[in-house]
Amino acid sequence: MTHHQAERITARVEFAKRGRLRFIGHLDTARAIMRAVRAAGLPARTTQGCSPHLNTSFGPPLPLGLTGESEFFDVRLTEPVDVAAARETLQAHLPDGLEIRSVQLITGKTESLGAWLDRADYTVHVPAGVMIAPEAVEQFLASDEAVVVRTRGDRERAVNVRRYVERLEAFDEPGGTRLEMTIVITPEGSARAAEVLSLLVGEQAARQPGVRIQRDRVYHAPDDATAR
Amino acid sequence: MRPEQLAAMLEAELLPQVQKPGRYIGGELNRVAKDHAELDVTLALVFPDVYEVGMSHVGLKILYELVNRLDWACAERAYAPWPDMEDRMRERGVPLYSLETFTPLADFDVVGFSLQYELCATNLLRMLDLAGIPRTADERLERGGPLVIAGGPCAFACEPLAAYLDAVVVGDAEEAIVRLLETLREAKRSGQVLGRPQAREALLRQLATSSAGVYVPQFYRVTYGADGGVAAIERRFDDLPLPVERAVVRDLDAAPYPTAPVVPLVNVVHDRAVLEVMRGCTRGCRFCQAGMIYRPVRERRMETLLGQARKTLRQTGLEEISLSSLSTGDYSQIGELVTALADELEANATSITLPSLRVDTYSVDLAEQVARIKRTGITFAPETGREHLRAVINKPLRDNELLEAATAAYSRGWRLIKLYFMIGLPTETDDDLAAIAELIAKVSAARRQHDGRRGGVNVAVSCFVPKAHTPFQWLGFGPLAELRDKIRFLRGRVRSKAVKLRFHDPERSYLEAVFSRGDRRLAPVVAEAVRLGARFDDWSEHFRFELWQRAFDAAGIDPDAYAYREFPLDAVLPWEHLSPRVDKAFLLAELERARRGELTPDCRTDGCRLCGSICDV
Repeated sequence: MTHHQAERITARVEFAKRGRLRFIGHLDTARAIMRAVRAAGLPARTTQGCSPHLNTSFGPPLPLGLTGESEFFDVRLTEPVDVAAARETLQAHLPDGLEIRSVQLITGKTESLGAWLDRADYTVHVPAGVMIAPEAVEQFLASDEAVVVRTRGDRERAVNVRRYVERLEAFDEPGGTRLEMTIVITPEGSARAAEVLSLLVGEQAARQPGVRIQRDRVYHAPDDATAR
Repeated sequence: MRPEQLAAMLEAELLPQVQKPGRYIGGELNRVAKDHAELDVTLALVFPDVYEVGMSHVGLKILYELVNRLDWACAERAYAPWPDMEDRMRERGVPLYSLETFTPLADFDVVGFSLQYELCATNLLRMLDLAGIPRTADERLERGGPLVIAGGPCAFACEPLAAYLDAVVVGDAEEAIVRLLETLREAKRSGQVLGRPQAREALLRQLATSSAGVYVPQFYRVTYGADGGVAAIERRFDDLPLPVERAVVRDLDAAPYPTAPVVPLVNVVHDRAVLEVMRGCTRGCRFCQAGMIYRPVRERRMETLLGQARKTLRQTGLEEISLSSLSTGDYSQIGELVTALADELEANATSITLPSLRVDTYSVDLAEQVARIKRTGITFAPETGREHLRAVINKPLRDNELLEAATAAYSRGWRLIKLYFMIGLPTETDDDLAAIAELIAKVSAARRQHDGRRGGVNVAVSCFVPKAHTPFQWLGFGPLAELRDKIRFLRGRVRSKAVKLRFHDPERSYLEAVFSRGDRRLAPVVAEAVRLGARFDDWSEHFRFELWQRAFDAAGIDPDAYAYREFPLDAVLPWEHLSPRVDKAFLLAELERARRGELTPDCRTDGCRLCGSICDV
């Protein structure tokens, strides 16, 4: 490496989004994090151009209303930092509910997080009042098609989400049922945990107070694991 | 309802079902949440509009900082819930609460509203209702409840809301608020039970007499004459001030200013750090209330501002900083300040906005300084189309100064210029309106000599509303029908595709005119409008004029009589007992000069005009 060609340094930050903060959306979360990076004084690289901003990359958006235990963002740096100190100062400049879990330095080229992270595990807590038929999960897994209708503005679109659901299991737990699922994230699309839930229990029941959806982790699956 | 219960209910049942729930969760960076059990006095700072608007105002941020510095008091925030949230809160019996600790507003000692514009009146009543606080000062005297106070520019013409307020802070609230809280603290310590009418009245009396800038409406009696106007305003006790003089921060540079403001969680209207470079303006535009009630001009030193900028950005991470004041271009070291800030902030991509520049090429120089970081819009406010009418309103600006500034902006890379105009000004004729259209066309054409194209122009046209404590306070509004004609006339004359023309809703301006010069007899109209469903009247999407017309009918009030009224020069004005420390004689002299089309130069450069303000000129 020559002197005038600086090495790429990326801080990969794992964080959790918890509690009431689940009620802010992805863009608002990203803004809060970018402000923390700026306030913490990390040597972040900024983009050039007429509207300069931090060079950051975020993992797949966590839908409004969901908590996340292991989410990621990358920020390009101009020089290495002490990761323990970076974690501490970032944490000091975040709102309630955002917790920095780890900071890792990566040198060299990195893939964009949005493209690289292709699996997510979810846990859904369903209160006792919402019935999940015992055979519902088996039927879901046995069929090739599970269609949800997504509305965006005035337009409606039918999407088969079955092919994005890699794993789905139900467990009894005190006070209701716990669903666990693994969802594949592809460039063409993905399923939402809330959609899978509504296919199992109906749309009305899926919106009952007391239903809690958490994204346990977002990750890159080893190459041998392939989507259905 | 206990805070924990309230928070649990919000999370489970309300927040999943409303738009933009991030408005209602608190927990932002830099918010201050204290344990109420360890405090003597608690204050809720309330902005009667939605979070995104309330979080954009700097006044409450100053008070938040000031009060939270005290170890015996706290200040927490509350904003008006958007209609979907308000409806659900009512359905579920969830009271209005503070964002810091989820404490119901009724449990605070003091609930203080910021009154920034007239049309927040319905929201104020709705917020009291939602908090379960009795609406009127009289009811609270009987039944107890927090002290409900208000401040902000509308405090100077708060008579339509007087019945709903226990006390009003007139002027710079940072001068009055701590003394007010101290008085309350002493009263609580000496064991006075403030739920009792006598104790509450004694406390209010102490507030009204012991600090400058505190107005207690119930201690002043207003009587009305046969002509429909105010006959007299009398105090009920001899030791009360009459008039109530505004509180004034003498040394702005030494006044506390927040450098760790709460950072909003959702995208707010002005999502940026704010430096208050100065307060007050002595240009003396005759329509401008702020230019009269915030006198004299007080500046912060440049070193102070640079220090505040550094601290604020370090403690918030905000991407933009605004140099705020009524006329930032008049700050005495504006060039040096902008250069120093731009040099410092360029490295970490923090942009600067200059919201209120003068109309000249020097302003374009300044805008260009900050554009090297991020190019923002450029705005000029010629107000009206002809130099003669500008002399009437005392805004000395020559057309060619505007055109030179426009030419400079287009040639230095701006493609779009924003212009502000006002219609319905005193003495305005069709010729004046035609001149507005011509001036817009000339501004657009100013780009031609640069690259042969027409320049983009966004024009915002508002309706002149006569305001209390200005030289035009005696004059009538509109009328509405004429304003509608004028809007049609202008639309017909501005045809270029390069020009976007937007008008402020004349019906809303009409209502603003009723309230900006209104008296206490309007109080029932607000209550009736609330009953009929009015809220968020300052939002065109929610404003329903017909509700207000029905409310006026039901209350037996003729709104035209308020909006169109020309006060005789010797009349007792409904706001006569509230003094911004600007002499009525000065306002009268200015009205006379307006009628003669005479300019009055800025006293900072051309000598004292005897306005009566306390200053060093």
